Order: sequence, then structure tokens, then C-alpha cells
Amino acid sequence: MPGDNNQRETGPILKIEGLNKSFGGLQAVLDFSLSLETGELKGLIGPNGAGKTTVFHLITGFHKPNSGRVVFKGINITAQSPNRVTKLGIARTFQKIRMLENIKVIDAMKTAFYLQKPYNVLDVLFQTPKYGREERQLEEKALEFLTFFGIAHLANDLGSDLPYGLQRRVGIARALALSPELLLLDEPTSGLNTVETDELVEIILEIKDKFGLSIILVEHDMRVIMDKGICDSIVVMHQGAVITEGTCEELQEDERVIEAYLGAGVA
Amino acid sequence: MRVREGFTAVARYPIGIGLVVLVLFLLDRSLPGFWLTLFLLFGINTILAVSLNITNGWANLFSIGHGGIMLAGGYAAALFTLPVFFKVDIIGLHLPGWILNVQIPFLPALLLGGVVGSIVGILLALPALRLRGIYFILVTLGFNLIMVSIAENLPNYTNGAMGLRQFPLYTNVWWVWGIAFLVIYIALRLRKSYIGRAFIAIGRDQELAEHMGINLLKYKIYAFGLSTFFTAIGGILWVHLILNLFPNAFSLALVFHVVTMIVIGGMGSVSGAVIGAAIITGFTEVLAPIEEGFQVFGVQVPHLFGLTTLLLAVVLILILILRPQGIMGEGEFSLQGLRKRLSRSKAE
Repeated sequence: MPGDNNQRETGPILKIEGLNKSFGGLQAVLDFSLSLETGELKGLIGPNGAGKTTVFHLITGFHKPNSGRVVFKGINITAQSPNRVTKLGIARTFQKIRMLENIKVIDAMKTAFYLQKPYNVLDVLFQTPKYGREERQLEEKALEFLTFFGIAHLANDLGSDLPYGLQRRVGIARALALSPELLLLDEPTSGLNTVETDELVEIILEIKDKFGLSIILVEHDMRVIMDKGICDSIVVMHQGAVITEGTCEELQEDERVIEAYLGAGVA
Repeated sequence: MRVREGFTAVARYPIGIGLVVLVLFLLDRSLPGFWLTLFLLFGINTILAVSLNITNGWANLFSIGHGGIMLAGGYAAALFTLPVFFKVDIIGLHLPGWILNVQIPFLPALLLGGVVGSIVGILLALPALRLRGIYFILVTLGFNLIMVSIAENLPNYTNGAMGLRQFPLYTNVWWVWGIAFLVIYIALRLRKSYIGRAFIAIGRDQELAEHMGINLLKYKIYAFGLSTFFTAIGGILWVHLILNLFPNAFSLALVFHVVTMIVIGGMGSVSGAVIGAAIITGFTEVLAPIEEGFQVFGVQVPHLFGLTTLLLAVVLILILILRPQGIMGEGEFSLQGLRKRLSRSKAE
């Protein structure tokens, strides 16, 4: 399997310090800090509008922060463009999946292998044996990923026509094709039923081990975060700021978390 | 075994190329003047449509400023291909000696014009790419008008609205269809490589493309540079076929025609662009005489200027209603696909 990578380095793979972002008068992210160890699976939760997705946007450089620092593998990637951040090894999925319209699943996967660029323009124009070989290899690799996600039989279907649960899998397969070290999952189970959710959680744990990934998981579904206990630690955001961090046992007792979700006076 | 597969594919080309050359040779010899010109215009329109499809169809950079590019490339080449006596004695252009006193063959003129078109295209794209959607279209529209204005108001270099004439008749079947096949080949090959996939990813979802590591600015400039290079060459071929170049030669009406070709054929499809070029060329040229007035079932239809354009608009609207994705959609024509479809319909 491509991307097998089990050596673990020590020290945080991602370090975020004092990140601030405002849109006009709205403070979307306020003094956000986070430290992610290599191989860690960190949950990022919070009520609607807490700024979780904005944090992802700030990490990949899609939005530029007003202040603060993002350091990945010791490289300062603050306000770099998304294509450079992706090249360094951060891949993300999207809450709305973003399936390319009218494109077959296999072609969507091949597009995601863009960074590999195994041949150049001249190989394409002169149809050198190298081009043919590499294109075939790309196809095999894409199929390998799809097989791993159990969707190889859908390779020739249009991605945007698939049911939601399968689209989610393509979305994650597509992110893995970028051979990332850090995977940012934005609500991977939203819109899925309980069976699909359970399957996807299994897949996430499996790819984490198989590809030696560090993962940040933004999640809405408390069942995934709390009952499954898949996260090594959980960060809770409320109104743009981190209110607490801990394991799920610690958080279930935490009054501030309950207050953020249910309002004051319930606990 | 695997390595040799690549070569057997290459070995098929000489036979195909030989057949195409033979057909072109026979057409060149046998077609009467009007139909030969029509065939050449079809080829030029193919070049224009396939190259416009790279920006408008794939990368979703909807340009209607390609007429300005043709103008830039056309004039750049024209200044070098015009006979020296015409430039110096008849219209007296004010140009440096190294342009005024030379007349160069067609190939360098095509390359020169193509490069000029490409540079002008990239210079247009750099500021225009800051805008998206309808605003991008508006900038390219403005660019087309500006280029016409510039050509009209620089009489010392372009002879102004009077235009240029006395071009050598360089354009023939070999140039036109040689380049047309080259453009089609390049487009089809790119589409099946990471470069074409990057263009299409940008066209469908820019934000996603960015998160796949694709450098947006770089690829948009590639798309624009490639498209404008061949568009400019199409313009130069036109000039050396019609033997006339004036500022309004490549106005918005022409750009409208080329856009119609790719919309009818199917945005994003190379074979669609070729089919669209055939339909539009046939439509505008073959039906042109009906504007002079004709008789239908004993009823005399009077002289109606612009009737073909009107009919074209009707065809466009019908296609947009009945088959909005165009004749080919986003797919490509292939014998395999055709065979599959035929066997399926037989089974039914």
C-alpha cells in the first residue's frame, strides 16, 4: 500500500499559537492555541459557529490569520497558500465533501495524485513509454485506495451521483492520495446514519495506523467523540476561543462544556 | 512487454497520418474554390474553438476577449509578412527599419504572432484573474473593445481603420489542418494527464483544487497562455486567407461565433468543439446567400440582413433548452464508445 509510514518522530507535529481571525466585526477565532503530537488523534468540538472550520481554514492557509503562528514539522506555515501547505503534508476533507461535478470517481482520485507528477509535458505530448507506465501505475494506485475504502466497484461511476455515505469515503480517499502526515477531517460523519457512522469511525482508526497519520477531527456527533472514545484528547471551542482541553472522561464532568452546549444553569 | 505497448500505440500513428494526408491532398485538389475556402474556414474555426475550450471549457475562465488576442497576433505577424513595397511606398508605415524592410516566411510569422498573442493574453490574465465569474467576463469583453480601439488609433503602425491588404496568400490546407490536428492532439493528450486534470479541477472547484496542491495562478496562466497562443495563430491563418486585416476583423461578433461553437458542441469536450466549428461554419457560410432574399412555396422572402445570425441564435437557444450540456457534453468521441452504443441499441 502506498504511503505506508510507521516511523514515529517525537515532538509536536503541529503547533498553533495565539491564532486570531476576525471577519469585520465578528471575532471568529480568538487566541486559539493547540499542540498536536505525532500520531495523535485530537478531537475539536464545540457548538455551531464556534469557529472549528475556520481553524481548519487558517491551518491550510485558505484564510489568513490576523495574528498568531502555525508551525508544522518545525516549519512556519502561517498564511501560506493552501497548495504549499498541502505539498508539505497537510490534507483536509470538507464538510460539504466537494465532489467534482460530472467526474468519475477514478478520475477524481487521479486528480488527487496531482502532486506526484511522475512525468513531464514532453512525456505527455510524445506519449513516451514512461507516460504510459506512470499513468497505468497511477490508475492502479487509485484503485488500490478505492479497494481499501471498499468502493473499487464504483470507480467508473460519477462521484456526484453516489450516495452521501460513499461520497464521504471518496472524500477521505482523495485526501489520503495526497500522502499527508496530518489529516484534517471536517465533520466526516455529518449526514451519515448510525451504521455508516460506525463504519467510518473504523476506517478512520484503520487509516491512522496504516498511514501513520496525525489527525484533527472536527465533529458534531457527540456519540462519535464521547461514546466511542476514539480521540486521544479533545479541545472544546466556544465563540472562537478554546474553553478547555482534556480526555473525554474529564470533559463529561466539565461544567464549562455543558454550559457551552446547553446554556448556563442546566448543570 | 509493457514498455513495448507504448511503441505499438506510436506505430499506429503513421498509418492514420498517411490517411489524413491523402484525404487532405484529394480535397485540396478536387474542391472548387468556394468549398475549399469553406473547408479552410472550418479548419481555422476548429483551431479557435479547441483553444478557446481550454480556458472557457476546462479552466472555467470564460473569456470573450480572444478577438483582441487574434488582433494582437494578427497585426504582429502582418507587419512582417506584408511585402516591403506595400509597407514603405503605398501606405508608408512608420516602423523601425528591421520591421519595415523585411518580409518573412509563414512559419516564423505564425510563431511570432502566437508568442505575441500569448504574451498579450497573459498580460490580460494577470489583472483579470483577480476577478471571478461575470466580472472576469466583463474585463475580457472590455479588452476586446480596447484592442479594436488601439488598432484604429495607431495609424502609423496599423494604417488605422483603413486596414492592411496585399498579403501573400500563405494559408492553405496544409497549414490550416496541420495546425488544427496539432491543437486537437495537444488538447486530447493534455486532458489525459495531470496537467489537463489540474485545469479541469480548477474549473470545477477552485478551492478544492488549491487543497490538492495545485498552484492556481500558475495553471490559470498556463491555460491562458496555451489558449491564446493557438488563438493568435488562428487569427493569422485567417488574415492570410482573407488577405485583409482591419481593426474590426475580430470583433465581438466573431468571438460570439466561437463561443457558440463550444456551447453547441459541449463545453469541455474537444470533439464537441470540432463539431461545433463544423456546424457554425456551415451555418454562417452556406446559409449566407439566403440573406439576399429567396422564394419559399411561391412566397418571396425579401432581402434580410442578419438573417443567419438570427437563425444561429435560434439554434443556440434550442440547444440550450433541449440539450444544455451541448452535443458531446463533456465526453469525447471515440469509436469504442460508438460501438458500445450501437451494440446496446441493437440488443434493445
